[in-house]
Amino acid sequence: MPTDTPQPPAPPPGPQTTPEEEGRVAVLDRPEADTPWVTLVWNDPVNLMSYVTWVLQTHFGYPRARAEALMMDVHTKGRAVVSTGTREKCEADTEAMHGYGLWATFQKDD
Amino acid sequence: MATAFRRKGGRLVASFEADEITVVTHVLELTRAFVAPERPETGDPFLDLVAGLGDEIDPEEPSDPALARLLPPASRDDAEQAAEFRRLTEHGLRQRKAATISTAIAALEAAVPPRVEIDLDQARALAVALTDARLILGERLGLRTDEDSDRLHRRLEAALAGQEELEPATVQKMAYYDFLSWLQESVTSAMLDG
Repeated sequence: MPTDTPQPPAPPPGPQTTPEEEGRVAVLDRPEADTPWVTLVWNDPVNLMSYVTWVLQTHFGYPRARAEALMMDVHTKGRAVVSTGTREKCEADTEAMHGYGLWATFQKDD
Repeated sequence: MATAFRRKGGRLVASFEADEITVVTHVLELTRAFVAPERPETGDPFLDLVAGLGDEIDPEEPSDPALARLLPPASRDDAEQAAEFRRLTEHGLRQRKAATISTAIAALEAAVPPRVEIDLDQARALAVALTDARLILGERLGLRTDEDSDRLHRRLEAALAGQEELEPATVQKMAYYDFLSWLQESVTSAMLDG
């Protein structure tokens, strides 16, 4: 059991920014390690275009136009990146897509 | 003769013959039996949880291609990642699929033909359950490309008109697939309209 009263650690040096700039800097400085994974959905001959659109809208909350654009990428290019983020997020998204009957995979974004 | 689902506020309404409802629930029951977990539930959440932590054999990629499509590998080039994902998720995924199909079956069984009226949760379950049923039928029919699927309706009509010779069992699968596709399009479009 420590007997010395521990000194609080010195705060890490913060970025020299005004409060107005902080939000923007925080986004730009987000460590790469946070976002190197992607979830892919692959084309298949069974799933309907309307259904894939509905799944992307429902699960990810994408607006109709974005969901349709991603669906068309899956349809015409054979696959599309439907989400990016941490490995855990992409695993969870992949599991959800399998629940909907879409074939999804996740991998490092390279 | 069925009519498509239409949105009425928070509900979807369609009409079906009693026979058509029987066919759909029958196919969904087969689908549920096919995808449900191999390890039976005890009904006791604690025992079920402990059973999942035990020394059972890790699930492998199913040898039946239809089941492999319902429970697909989560990586196309990293077998280790896919195996790890399968070990962690497959049992729960099978449970959720079976529960969703049960919701869809219950919704259809509660209908008084010809009127079928379902809420949005039931509509969601029906759309998802029909996907699993169609994935199995599509695999059994050998659908590999978008063109295969596009041709199916025409081939079915040709077979029914006696212009193309097909096995009766194949024609029946094609008819089921075609009807379930129409039904799923109907449910999904009505949900998207909301």
